[in-house]
Amino acid sequence: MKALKDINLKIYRSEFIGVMGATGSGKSTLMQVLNGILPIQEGKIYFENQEIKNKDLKKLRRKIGLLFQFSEHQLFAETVEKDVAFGPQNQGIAGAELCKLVQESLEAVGLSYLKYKDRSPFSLSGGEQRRVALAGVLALNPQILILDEPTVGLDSQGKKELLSLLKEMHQKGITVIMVSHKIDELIKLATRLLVLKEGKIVLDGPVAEVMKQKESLHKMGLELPLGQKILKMLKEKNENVRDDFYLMQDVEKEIVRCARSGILCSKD
Amino acid sequence: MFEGLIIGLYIPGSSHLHKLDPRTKLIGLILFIILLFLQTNYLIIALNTVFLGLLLIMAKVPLKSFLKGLKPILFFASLTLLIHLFFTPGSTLLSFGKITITSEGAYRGGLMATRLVLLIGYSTILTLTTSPIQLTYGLEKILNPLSKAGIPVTQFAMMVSIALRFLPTLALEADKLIKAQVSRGAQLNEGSLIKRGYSLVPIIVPLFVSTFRRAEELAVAMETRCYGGGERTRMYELSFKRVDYMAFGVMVVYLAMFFALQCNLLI
Repeated sequence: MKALKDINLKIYRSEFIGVMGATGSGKSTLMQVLNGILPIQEGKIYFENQEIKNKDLKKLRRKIGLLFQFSEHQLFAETVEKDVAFGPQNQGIAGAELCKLVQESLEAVGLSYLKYKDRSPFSLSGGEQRRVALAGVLALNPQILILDEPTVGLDSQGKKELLSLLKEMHQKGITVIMVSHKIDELIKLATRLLVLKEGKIVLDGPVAEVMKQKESLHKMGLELPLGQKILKMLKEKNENVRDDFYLMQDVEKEIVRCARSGILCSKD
Repeated sequence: MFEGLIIGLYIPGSSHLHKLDPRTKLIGLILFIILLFLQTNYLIIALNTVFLGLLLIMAKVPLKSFLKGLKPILFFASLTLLIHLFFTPGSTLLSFGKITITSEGAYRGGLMATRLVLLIGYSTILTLTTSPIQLTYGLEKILNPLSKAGIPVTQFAMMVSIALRFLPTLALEADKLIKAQVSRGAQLNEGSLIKRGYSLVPIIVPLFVSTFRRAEELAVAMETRCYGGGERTRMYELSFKRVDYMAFGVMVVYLAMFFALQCNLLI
C-alpha cells in the first residue's frame, strides 16, 4: 500500500491554498504530513529553509495548526475554556497568559468568552462545537493553519461564518491551507489551487490559471462553480456567451452584458 | 498503531475452510482451545503447530495477514515466557549472577507461550475464514437450546455481531483522535505511569462520546427497519454438508491422536 508519491510542493508565506481532489486522492494524508503528524518515510520537508527531520516534527506541529475533519469529535474537556486551553497548556503556558490566549481564540472564532467558557462543549450546537475546536487550534498561535474540510456538515449560516472567519485570519497574515470538495468555497477565498489525483499534484497554480483547465477539472470528476455552470448552459444556446468566468460577480456582469446586447433572446 | 489488529477481519474466499458451516468451525475451535490447555508435552505442541499449518494452507489466506494478526500477542507470549523463566523454582539450568533460569521454568514458560500463540492462531483462522454474520449466526444456533431457559440468545448474538462490526471502526476513530490531540501537543508516551494515564483522557472521553452517539444512531436505524418486531427469519438457513462431516471426522482423529500423545501411548 502506498500513500502519496512524487509530491513536490512549495508553500509561500500568506498564501491561501485550496486543495481539491476526489475521495482517496491523498488530500488528508498530505495535510497530516504537512502538519508533521505523519512521519515521512522518503523525501524531505523544509520549513523556513530548514530541513525538518522526523524527530523534530514536534517543533513543526507547534507552528502549524491542523483542524481535522469533523473536528468537533475531538472535544473532551468538561468546559469550553479547558478544551481550548489544552494545546497551550501542553506547551507549558499557564496563568494569565493562558487565560488571555483562550479568551482571544474564542473571540476570534466569534464566541463570547464570558458566555461560553464555563459551558460543556457537549451542550453546544454542531457549528459552535466546530468553532470551539478551531479555537483550540488557534490557541496554539499557528503561523500556518491547515483545515481538512472545515465546512462539511455545517448549516449554511455556520458555513458562511466559518468561511468569513478564515478570510479574516488570512488577512491577518496567517497562511491557510484548506481542503474542500466545494469549489465555490475555494474560488472565493483561495489565492492558489491544488488538485490532487491518486497521490499526485495534477494541477497547481493561481486560481485563475487552474480554472482555465476546465477540461481536466471535468475529467477528474470535479464540479464547476455554480456561476460557470450557468454560463455553460447559456453558451449551449448561444455561442457568443463567454463561459470562462467563475466568480459570481463576473458571472453576473456577463449575464447582464448578454441580456443587454440581445444575445440571450431566442433567435426565432 | 492498530494496523496489526486483524482479529475480526474476514478475508472472503472459496476454500474448504470458508465453505464449512460456522457451527463446525466454532465447535472445532472450542475443542482445540480445551485441548490446548490440557496439553502438557511438546509432542502435542508440535502436532498442534503442524495442524495449524495445514489449516492455514487449506484456508488459502495470505500468510502475511495471518502473521500480522499474531503480532500483538507476541508481546504477551514473550512476557509469559520471561516470567516463567525467571520465577519458577526448580533445578538450575543456567545462571547469571543472581538471575537463574530453571529447567522447569523453561518448560512451563515455553508451554504457556506456545499455548497463547496457538490459541490466537486458531482463532485468527476462524475469523479470517468466517464472515461476522456467519459467525454470530453459528453462535446463535449453538446457543439456541439456552433460549428455552429464557436466555435472550438472539439478542446476544446480535450484540456480538455489532461489537465485532464496530471494532475496526473504533480503532480507526481512536487513531484519528490520537492524531488530533497529538497535533495539539498532547504527549502520550512521556512521563510517569500516572501522567500517561491522565494523558489518555483527551482520547478516551471523545471515544466514549462517539461510541454512544453511534450506538444511539444504530439503535434508531435498526428500529426504523423493524428490529424486534417479531421472530427473525433467515435468507440462508445453515445445514451441515459433506465437508462438515469430514471435518468432524478429522476432529475425532485429532482427539484420538491427542490422547494417545498425552498418555504417552506412542512413545
